[in-house]
Amino acid sequence: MTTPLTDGTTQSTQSTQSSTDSTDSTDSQAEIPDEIRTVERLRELREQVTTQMGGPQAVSAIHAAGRRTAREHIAGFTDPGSFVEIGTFATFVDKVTAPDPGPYGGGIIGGHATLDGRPVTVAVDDDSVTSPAARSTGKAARLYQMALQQRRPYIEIAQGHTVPDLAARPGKTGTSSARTFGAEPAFPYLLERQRAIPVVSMVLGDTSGASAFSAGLCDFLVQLEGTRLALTRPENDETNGAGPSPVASGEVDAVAATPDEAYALARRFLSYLPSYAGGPLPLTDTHGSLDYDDQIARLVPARRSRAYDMKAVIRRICDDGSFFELKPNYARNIVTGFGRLAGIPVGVLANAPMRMAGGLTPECCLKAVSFVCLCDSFGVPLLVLQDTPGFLVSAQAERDRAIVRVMTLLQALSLITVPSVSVVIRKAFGLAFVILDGNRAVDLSLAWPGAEIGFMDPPVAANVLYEPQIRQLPEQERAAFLAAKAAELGVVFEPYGVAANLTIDDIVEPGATRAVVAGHLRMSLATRPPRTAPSPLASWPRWY
Amino acid sequence: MNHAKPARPTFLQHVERLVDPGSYVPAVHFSEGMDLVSGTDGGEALIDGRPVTVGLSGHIVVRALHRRHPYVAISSGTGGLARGGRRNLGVLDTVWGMSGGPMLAEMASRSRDVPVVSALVHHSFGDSSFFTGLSDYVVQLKGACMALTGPRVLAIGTSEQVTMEELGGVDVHRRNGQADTIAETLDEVYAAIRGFLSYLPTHAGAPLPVTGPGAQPDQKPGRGARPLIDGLCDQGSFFELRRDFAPGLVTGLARLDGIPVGVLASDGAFAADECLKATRLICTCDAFGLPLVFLIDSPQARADQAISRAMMLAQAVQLAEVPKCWVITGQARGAGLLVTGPARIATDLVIAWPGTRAGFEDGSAGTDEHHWPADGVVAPDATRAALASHLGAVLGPSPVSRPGRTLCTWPAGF
Repeated sequence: MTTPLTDGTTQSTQSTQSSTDSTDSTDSQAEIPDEIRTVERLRELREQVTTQMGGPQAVSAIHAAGRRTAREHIAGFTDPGSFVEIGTFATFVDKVTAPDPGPYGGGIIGGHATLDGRPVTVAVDDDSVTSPAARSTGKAARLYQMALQQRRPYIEIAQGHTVPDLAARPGKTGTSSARTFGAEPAFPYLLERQRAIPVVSMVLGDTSGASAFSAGLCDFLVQLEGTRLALTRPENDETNGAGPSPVASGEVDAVAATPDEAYALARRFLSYLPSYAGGPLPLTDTHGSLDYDDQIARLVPARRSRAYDMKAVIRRICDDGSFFELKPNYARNIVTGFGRLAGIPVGVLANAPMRMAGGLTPECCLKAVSFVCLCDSFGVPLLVLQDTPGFLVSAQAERDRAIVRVMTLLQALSLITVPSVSVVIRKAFGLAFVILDGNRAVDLSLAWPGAEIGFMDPPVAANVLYEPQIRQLPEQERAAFLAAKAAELGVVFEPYGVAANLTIDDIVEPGATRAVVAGHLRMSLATRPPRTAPSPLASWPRWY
Repeated sequence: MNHAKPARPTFLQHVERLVDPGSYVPAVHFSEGMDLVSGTDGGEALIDGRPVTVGLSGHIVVRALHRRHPYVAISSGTGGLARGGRRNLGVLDTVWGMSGGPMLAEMASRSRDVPVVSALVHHSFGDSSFFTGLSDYVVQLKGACMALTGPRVLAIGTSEQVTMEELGGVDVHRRNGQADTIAETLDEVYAAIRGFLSYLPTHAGAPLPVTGPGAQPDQKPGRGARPLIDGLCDQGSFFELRRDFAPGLVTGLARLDGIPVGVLASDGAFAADECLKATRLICTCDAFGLPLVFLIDSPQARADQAISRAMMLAQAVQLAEVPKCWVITGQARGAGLLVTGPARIATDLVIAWPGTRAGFEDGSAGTDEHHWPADGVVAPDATRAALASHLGAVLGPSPVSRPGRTLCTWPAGF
């Protein structure tokens, strides 16, 4: 039957009658009251459980605060009528010893549903219920395992404080929390998840304890404005909230003003990913022409010191309206987000000359590594758009572990297995070029005809290379000498130099970029054998 | 008086002082210009009787990867610009080669199959410093500077005026954790390299360098992380790593009855940097098959941006496949408790000292209660014997390093 279990009204009374009849014909029913075997009893109980949840007062309090219950979140988030609940009657209390078990649900409401027609599994903190300390029904673990087995995205909505049941360990059963669904909370499984399925965490209420764990392990973290997300409750926070918020530290991928906006962000995020790692990419029709674009070159000023909006370039290369930015307010000198090219989902990693001229800081490396891991784990092709003077060097950057951060980005981009294209839009120098070009790991390395590619920004390079000569010159002649030498280097740094020895594969006209990249991606997807082993990056932490 | 500064040792002089006497065999190869070069930038040698490749700033590291034995970089130099920049300006075809691309490509995709060590004996910029970011162990000599680029380029490019010390001296990298050991003298540098390598197999899967039955510690396990470690491990065997970084956690290599182990002992407030410190050591130990010993007495957990980093550490602990032992020596809660999370029953051991407490936030549960999954309550005096016998039983009589399959590909640095 495809009828949702919660929709009791569609079930016929005829079947109720026949099931009651059949139990009457058995022998050992004497001690068991008839009504607990009836469908009426089930419906009544289900109605009570699903409407009253943790109690009418708790539900009223949630509504009075202008908030939504766990079930209302699910109804608002998933396709109408698609939710099939799992573990409706889970409870913290042992049913055998406590005939009146109190609030059902086990602190989490969850099950299966569809999102834009695609199956997903959801688990939502039920904040109408106060979870006993260190008790878990194992419901989140059960739901996560089901999602993993069925290869579908797992979505958590966090809005509470849960004390983690650390006593429960995989393989060690028989602890105090052993229940119908097993002893384990979800998080040990999430620790080993290695991005086999997409995991989304929406923080829609103050969240701490075990409820916050998924936020540190997911692929997409949305936080509702005004909520608090931390490992500990405020009363145990020794920084008194003075520590940087997860938004400021870059852990949060998107901030939502309302729950509805959070739902929309999560749905949009998932629209670019396959249902599981190695699964088919969700392709759409091409939106926008693939013909020659005679406007795009005008977006990029020829003068290297002039800033411009890289996102405008991204939007013209990608399908109309397809660009979806992640972490838009963190490390803004690098842009990360999903888009589509001829309907093919693509991860875009781009320098942003509007911010610090597109120079790269240690924070940019963090943001980029996290994004590259995400794309590579789920087989989403990568498009890198370069316009950077390089890694910003300073004493502060060195204190911020620049060496390790930069080398980690090098590692991540060297290990990519997805189809990948890099385009130098205007300039790329030294190590930054080597790294963003995937250290020769990208499939196709391109440059626009006006691009400069070399070992160092020409004016700086001229200064460093000709320092002895400069020192011997009279003060007033130095600037002209430097400018002349920088111009000489500028000629050497034209892309024909690196195209000559295949450091880049070709020079592409700006107007043809969209068509060339789309064509490459189409061909890559057509001929690449399916991946047989997970990407090494799939196991990397979401933030480091 | 005008005393000339003593000349800096050459690469070969460093090698002579580092390796077993007379063991260095220079590598013979062709340079970029096709000149025959002999051993001026690297070769093979023995350290404590075991083979290594030694090279200048990452040169010929590929030989160590192929031969499957440790590589030691004597890091000193200004990177690609000085080495090849001027020469190659006419034919600017070598952005990749000049930035150390080929070496970086090898290193970036290596999976901790052989231990890689960097010794910063002089200022290191460019690919000399890049190499340190991909190394398992970095020792920095006082006076040496390690930075992406040097003060001169900084002054020209950004007008920032800083000294070598301010930019990347030992005080910078002892605090940010990018140097595992700070050495006052060259002899300390050489001793540190030999010391670090003595705990590790020559490659992942090779026999663990187990010594004879270790000397009993000369003290009882005391309060505080270091006295505790000294009281549990073989006498004088503790080799501390990143001492001045993330002081809430003490990490290092040690021996337990001759078996090399990684030790992580909480020592106060636990926050994001402590998670980074722990994760680096766990990755190294898992790749080279060293068991992990956690000593937990964590009275407080700081909340600063810790979720993802705490989960990263929890992931590292969970994904590590080497035997793991936890000893609860006091209160275990918050982040300290996190690292004691899920355990594999067959190879892992969780023991608690009498009267210790555990809980996520309040530490309310006694460790001997049902809530705490300790395998047993053990007296402080009996802890060393319990750990040693557990590890002896799990590893067997002639232990081979059984490398983990996942963490070896995690980032090289944290």
